[in-house]
Amino acid sequence: MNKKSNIEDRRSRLNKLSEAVFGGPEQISREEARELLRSAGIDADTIADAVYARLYKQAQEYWMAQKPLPPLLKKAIEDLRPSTASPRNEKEMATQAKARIERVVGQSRHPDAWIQSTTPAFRPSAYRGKKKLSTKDESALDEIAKRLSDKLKGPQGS
Amino acid sequence: MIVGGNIPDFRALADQLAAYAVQIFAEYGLRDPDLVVSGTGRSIEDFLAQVLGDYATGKIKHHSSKGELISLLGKALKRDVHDALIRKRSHLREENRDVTSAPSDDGTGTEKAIDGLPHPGPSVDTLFDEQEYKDRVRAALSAEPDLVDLADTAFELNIEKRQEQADVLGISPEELDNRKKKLRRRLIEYGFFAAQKQ
Repeated sequence: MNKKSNIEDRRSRLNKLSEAVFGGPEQISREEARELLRSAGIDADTIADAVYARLYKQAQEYWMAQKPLPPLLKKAIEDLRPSTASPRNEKEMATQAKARIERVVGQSRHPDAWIQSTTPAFRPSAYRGKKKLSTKDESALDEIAKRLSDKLKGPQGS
Repeated sequence: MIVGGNIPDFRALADQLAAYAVQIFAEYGLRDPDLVVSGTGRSIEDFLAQVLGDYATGKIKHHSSKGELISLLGKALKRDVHDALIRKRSHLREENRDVTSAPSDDGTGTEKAIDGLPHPGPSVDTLFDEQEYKDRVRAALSAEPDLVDLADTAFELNIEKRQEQADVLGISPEELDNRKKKLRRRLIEYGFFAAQKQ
């Protein structure tokens, strides 16, 4: 048996084992998929936006060549249109608002993933167990207090 | 006009296939924090865009008789990741051979030490070695014996069917599905959080 077919046999055996243990992609619901991505510290929207950019580039090649866009490519671009793109109609505006709210609610349910995505300076755990505040901490807190106080006074002053 | 079966929701496909790609990365111990098959520069986004692009432009054709669309795309995606891994190993082996056989600075022609070179990583044989694969998966699940038992129905008893796996474990098929869900999550958490801690 040559080496290539040997590797093919191994791949196929591992595919069988993987299928039996983890199941195929059809067993991953969309909801579970987003959970899994979150567990790996990946934002599903970021991935989808990147895929949209690649497919859009493919679509541009058709436009440049003045060829009709394959219907599935057109559908893919519509489905993957980033939530940050300007809404083209009221329906899109509502969809984007819903997606944004869901993202915020999702993040609040998974503080671990949120902490991973923030810089250490903004992690609440950075203050956990701290007995005494440093001068730097105090001045940062004073600045925040002043900013909040100015914000509260703002509308009355104007 | 789209003909031939149900109209796919590409956003849902992207989410599900991205999660599946992450699972494949974890299965093969690919822990690059940038989600790239290092040495090839191909990321999860690249694999995903390739497979969805090929389907959207008709390079991958689906017919309902072939089963679910997502299964077909998942297989194509896994094949692409495997191919990238094989290309990476072959490339590193070639690179290593070139440098190790090059003459040394003093011109004596002795082999150079390979310290400081990119580590070639496991060979293709090791990467697709059944025992190595089983060990990687078991290590990820070691904290939860019920998940190891599930994996062993396939690893040790060669049982692939859902009902038979459930019977051996003495649980319902629905409970088995939930356990597999937990198993996928553990594998990914183990793979990726372990990488972040390194």
